[in-house]
Amino acid sequence: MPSLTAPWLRLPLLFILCAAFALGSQGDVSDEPAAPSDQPIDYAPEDTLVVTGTLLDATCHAEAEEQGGDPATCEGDYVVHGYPVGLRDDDRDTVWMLVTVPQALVDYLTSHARVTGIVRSRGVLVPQQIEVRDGDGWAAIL
Amino acid sequence: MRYLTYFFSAALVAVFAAFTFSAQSPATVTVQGNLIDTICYGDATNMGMPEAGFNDDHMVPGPDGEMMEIPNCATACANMGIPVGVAEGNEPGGDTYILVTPATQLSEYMDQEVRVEGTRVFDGGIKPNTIEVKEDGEWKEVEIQLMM
Repeated sequence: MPSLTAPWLRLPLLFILCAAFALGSQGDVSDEPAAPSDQPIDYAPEDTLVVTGTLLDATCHAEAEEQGGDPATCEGDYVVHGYPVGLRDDDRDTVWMLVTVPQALVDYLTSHARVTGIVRSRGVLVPQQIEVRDGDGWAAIL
Repeated sequence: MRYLTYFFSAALVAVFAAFTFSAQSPATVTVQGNLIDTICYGDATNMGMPEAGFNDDHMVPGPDGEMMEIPNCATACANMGIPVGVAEGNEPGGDTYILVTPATQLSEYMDQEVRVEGTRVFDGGIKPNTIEVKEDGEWKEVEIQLMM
């Protein structure tokens, strides 16, 4: 039986150890209640905010980010079927989930928008008004 | 030769580490609470009375300023496609998460105790793998047709 310290065994062993490490890290499962991300926030529930950003298909973008795909290919297929719309904040490193009828915004996905709304909880915004860029100004769509 | 082996070993470790941390799936989370209509619950919470939008029948300000009841409001809103959420806990006021799924498929379960297991989508959403409702003290999985 060859010694585990034999030079020709070192690389295969290292390969197996790395593979085991990589596979073992995939099952990151927690039964804890959902905890917010570690990003600091500058708002609180019930705050009224005016957020500018880009309207997007939240589901498609989340999947693209998760799987390393290209979010630019998202065309709103999920939103057509009633999945929520998101707003990528220009100023904060976050995507807001918008509490509104998704299909009403399907024609405005990828538009630059200004949303006035009330914060429900972390990352959740209830829009009171949604405007999209129209030349130098804004045009209300909701 | 020995240094070359060390160099390639270190490179191999670095490649695997990069693969591991880039491909790591987001943590699975479980949230338990009440299935709510996010708009009415949000508005009610903003008015300082989350209980008014917590159940299926909602209390809203009427034309005369008095509160009036809208029966089956949460069900109607879900049927219109307004996102459905989970308010954590069994009492009004808990954190709210938007369920990344078509609202219409959950309309018949509004105002029921649910247990959702899924992955976080951005800060405020959960992409459900399973949704269970409590019926007669037992958890029963809801069949939803997902595009994913």
